[in-house]
Amino acid sequence: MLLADFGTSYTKLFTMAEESEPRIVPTRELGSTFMADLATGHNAKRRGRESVNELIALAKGGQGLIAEPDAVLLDCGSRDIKFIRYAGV
Amino acid sequence: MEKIIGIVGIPPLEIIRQINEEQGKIIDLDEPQLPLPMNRETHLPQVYCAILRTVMLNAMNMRLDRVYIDVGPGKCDCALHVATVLQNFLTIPVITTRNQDSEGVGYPICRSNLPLIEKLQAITQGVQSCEPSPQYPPTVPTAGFWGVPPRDFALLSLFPNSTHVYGWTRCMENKTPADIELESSCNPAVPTVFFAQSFCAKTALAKHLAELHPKGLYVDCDVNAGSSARAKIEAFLELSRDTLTASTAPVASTDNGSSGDDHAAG
Repeated sequence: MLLADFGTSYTKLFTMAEESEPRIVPTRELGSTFMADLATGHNAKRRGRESVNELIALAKGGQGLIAEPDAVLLDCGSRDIKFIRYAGV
Repeated sequence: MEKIIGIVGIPPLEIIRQINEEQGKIIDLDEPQLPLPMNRETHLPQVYCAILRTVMLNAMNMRLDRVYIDVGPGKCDCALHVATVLQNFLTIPVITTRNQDSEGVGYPICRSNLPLIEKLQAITQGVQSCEPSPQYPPTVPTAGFWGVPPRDFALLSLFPNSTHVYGWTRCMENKTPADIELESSCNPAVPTVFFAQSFCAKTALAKHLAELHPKGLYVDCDVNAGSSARAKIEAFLELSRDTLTASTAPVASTDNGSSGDDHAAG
């Protein structure tokens, strides 16, 4: 299964069960018909057979990686900044 | 011959009753009525409330017999100035009103289980009648939508049917558009999106209430709801639902430097 984060400038690709590290490619180098099985990011709906809201992907993905209960996770993109605030209870 | 009457905002019930009695056809000029691009409207600044730009676009391009435009505390100062522009450009009567109706008729649609788009369609349609809304059984809210009916109703498709409606839209259904106390009320237990049209004075109240609310998200949009605004609302609703059981509460946001006319975010 090919996972992808289609950002405005760069696309991050990861083939499950085949790769150990994601690949980063300039989005402009992708062919117009390039598709992923599951996608997030700016162009996810157009390029993904299924898509996940980019803020939800960031929140849930970060939650699995950050041990601190109180944290801010920042995603600095080329066109916007997204952040998730984990408010420990 | 049937008279075609344009309304802007919510004229007093007495005016609606008169129009109904003369069997006039009411056109809500706040809503898109014509398949025309917004840039056809040139009399107002481009940076202006999209609802009032829609009013100008409709009024300048439709056959109308007269217009009632509410300019009282139940509408906004911008409408007062738009009334002047309409009076100068239209040859038909443009009559200003100040709706101070204070007798509430209830808001069963706001608390119903109808899809949110249908709720707002029914409420905006209800402005054309003097009658209260039909009764609907109330649902337990899992989300809240606070604000005015948006220029782009597509925004509403993101919400669950169990969304309760607050803010000026609730005042519309209650037929008390100047009731600031009702407009300011919301449910702190329910994750609520506080929506206002960009460049509308109500953005201040929306942002203020969102800051006071324990689970509030402030969103403003211009003509259309862009992908950033949609992503924010979608994530807010889903993550708020998750935090009902999670021990750590994520709060998501994007900032693309936009005043709210959201376009795609990368």
